[in-house]
Amino acid sequence: MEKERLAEGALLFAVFGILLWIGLGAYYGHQLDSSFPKGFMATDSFYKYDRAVSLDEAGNNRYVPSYLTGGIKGLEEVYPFASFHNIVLFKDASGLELYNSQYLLNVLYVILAGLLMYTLIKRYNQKIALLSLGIYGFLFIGNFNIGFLYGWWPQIMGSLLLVGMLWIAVFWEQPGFPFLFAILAASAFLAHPPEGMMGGAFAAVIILVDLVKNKFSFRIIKRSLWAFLLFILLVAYYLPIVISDDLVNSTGSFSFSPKESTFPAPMFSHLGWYGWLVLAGIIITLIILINKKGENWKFFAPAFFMGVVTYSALIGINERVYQNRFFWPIYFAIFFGLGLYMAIKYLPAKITRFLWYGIPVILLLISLVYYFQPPAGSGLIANEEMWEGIGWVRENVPTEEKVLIFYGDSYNQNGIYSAFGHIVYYNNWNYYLNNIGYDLSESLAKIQKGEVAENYTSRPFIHHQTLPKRISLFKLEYVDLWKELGLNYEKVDGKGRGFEPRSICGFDYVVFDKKSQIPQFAEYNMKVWGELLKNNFVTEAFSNDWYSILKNEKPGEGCIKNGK
Amino acid sequence: MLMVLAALLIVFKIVFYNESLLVVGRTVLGFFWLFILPGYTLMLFWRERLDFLERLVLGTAVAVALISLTSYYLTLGGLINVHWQWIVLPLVIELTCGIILWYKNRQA
Repeated sequence: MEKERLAEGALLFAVFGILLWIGLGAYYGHQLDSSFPKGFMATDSFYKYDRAVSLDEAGNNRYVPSYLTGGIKGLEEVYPFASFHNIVLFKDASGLELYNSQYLLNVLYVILAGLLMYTLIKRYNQKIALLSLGIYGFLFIGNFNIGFLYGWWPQIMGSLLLVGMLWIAVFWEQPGFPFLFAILAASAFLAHPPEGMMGGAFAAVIILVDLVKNKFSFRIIKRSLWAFLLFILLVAYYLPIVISDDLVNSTGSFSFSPKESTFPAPMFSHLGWYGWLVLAGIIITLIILINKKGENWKFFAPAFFMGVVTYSALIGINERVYQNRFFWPIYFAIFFGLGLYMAIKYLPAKITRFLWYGIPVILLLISLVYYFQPPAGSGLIANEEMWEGIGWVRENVPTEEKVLIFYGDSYNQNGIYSAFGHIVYYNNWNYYLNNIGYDLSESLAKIQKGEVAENYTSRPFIHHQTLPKRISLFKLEYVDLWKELGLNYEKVDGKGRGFEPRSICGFDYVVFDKKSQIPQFAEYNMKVWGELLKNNFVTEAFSNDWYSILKNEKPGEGCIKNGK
Repeated sequence: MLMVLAALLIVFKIVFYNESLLVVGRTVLGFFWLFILPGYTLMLFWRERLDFLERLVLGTAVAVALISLTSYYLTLGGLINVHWQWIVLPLVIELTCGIILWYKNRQA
């Protein structure tokens, strides 16, 4: 018995190590504290990171930083905030940079969720639980890893808590478990509401079946009501925001027509030949459940429930459920383990007890060799020098001074502007290149002609369209930021979203990227840079191999000769 | 629990072999202190119903939830600076659970 416990412990630490290796080690060059953020590959990566930064800098989570709202203060944060608290606390406890704390913590969340599912399956059958570990490599492979690159940290934490809720709900009759459930559900709701709701729906199914089986026992009703009331109490402050139209509108739609994923979602085929074992496991499960008249159904219920949820977009429930497929290797682990268990059980060769511990490690290593590749490139923050330049603006430019950012390759994901920590204006040439219809032809014509002009079509970076002000504890009033700032959000006559011709001479700082994958853009940047530096009131305030940042001591004075 | 901490240190050092022992040590200790220890202490209330591994893993997940919730409301109310919470919150959870468990054991 003691030997088995030791073998189990050794196996679990080996699995933990392999997952940590592919989840972070391989990508981070086997270091923990990178000198610049890696894996920021989408606009969300920056938005989510910025929320942790603003909590870290301001020390509170009450208001949206004014650099995201065009300078308007006192507006409430609509995005659920709980996940960012753990990131900041772990940063303080570990001494890591905030972005490294964020990445590592979320890798640990995923591994923890996997181990949690292992302990649940172990209660059904230890051998199946051991074998089920063999599919976990997919958690960090291909599209299953997208959440890390798109910065969906709240969703990852929500998913860990969802696995916890599934675990607790299976053993709902245990004393005190509804209390634990309410804590997990409330935190999931405040990290990423859909996972809180999914866990609640699963518990409701379990409770309903228990109620029918136990002739509507008052004890079950009482315990469930207590859990629900505690949950409501714990989320009461945030509830008015969740039920407001704005957030509901931004989290996908409900209509009974099939929804496509808006990102590279995991498909069943991405599980490779491991998927065949999952399919075999599903069929075997159904046979077992029918033959044994539903005995032990609760152990399989989480897998079936999450299977239905993650395919529900096909009948139009909500496209966001594609995100929950990231955890398929965890939800479907019991099917995989059972499929493999049956295949091994009927092998003619005798399987020694300790081989059960070796098989999952071999399977993990096979998935690693055949399917795993670390993410390509460091992401939109190309290198340490780029991060240094962004940090320079954040720390050195006074809040009230205006900054214009010229063309740069990484700015096609405009969440990156939040990293500057200022109300920045940008000439976003990518809008033209992506041909989404805003009339920036004037700006592009300037590049093609090589003409340095005084006026460029630019816009301020404002993250939201409307945000609430809290009038009382449960009452909110929404403010239209664009109207408040006198800007035009709607597209009218080919223009809008705040794009207007603005003089380059009116800005206190102008940021130039020195490098580009499109050399003509970098050359053009440097041409404008050269023209500005011809004025004795314009000086170079910061420079490295990536950026040059110019300071205009006399904003408003003419700075481009013969400019239009 | 010390065995768990030691094993975590070894695994982290193997995976992040290019990182200094100091950074690896602080990172592991940070995670252990912030989530594993308070979660495990809380799960001692269920020590007769859950085995060691379940208390360890489920406890850590519950601590992830509990720490984020308490930090969220303490920060909202401006009660404890967010940068002190990594020390205060685990300590309060461990002490509270410890005192209640001690009292319950004494009564039993």
